[in-house]
Amino acid sequence: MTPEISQALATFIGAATTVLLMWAASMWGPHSRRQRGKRDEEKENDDGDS
Amino acid sequence: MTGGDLSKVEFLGRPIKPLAFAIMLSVATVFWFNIVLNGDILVDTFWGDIVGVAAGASCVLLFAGWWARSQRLAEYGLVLASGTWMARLFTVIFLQGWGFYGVYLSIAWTLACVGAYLLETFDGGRAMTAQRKAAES
Repeated sequence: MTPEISQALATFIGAATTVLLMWAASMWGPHSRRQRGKRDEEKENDDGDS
Repeated sequence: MTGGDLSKVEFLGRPIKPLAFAIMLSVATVFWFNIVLNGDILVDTFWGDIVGVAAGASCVLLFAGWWARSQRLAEYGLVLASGTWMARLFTVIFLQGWGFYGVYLSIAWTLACVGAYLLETFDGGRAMTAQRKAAES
């Protein structure tokens, strides 16, 4: 494999890592819709208790 | 306050993130030696330059995130640093093989970047709560 192709492939792998991490954060991180829904649900429960 | 902050320690009124600061220096090194000095951290091609510019952007985002107290900017900086170090890791694996010490240094930096990103991002919403409270007060 030539250095040029090696570098291009490595750049692609680095870009894929970045996208994968951002996707994981959007799925399971605190900014995700799932977590936001859970937080809203907890807040509603808290409001209901008080 | 996030998982990456030193507890109750501030500098210029801003939280100290030791891991993020080390990562900022590491990507600044990649940018400086690859783009400014045209060195051999990466292969001197268009694709190598893209990684070098991403390293520079990551450094700027990390500093801006710290200075502007922006959690989002810091997270973007760390995720870009993760991609930069992953690209550097595979560059040395492809070109030098597993016997080269640079492979293991790159593995360490990649793990540090991904770990710092996870610490900042998956903190149970503490950073968002802190930012909301700061905005409300």
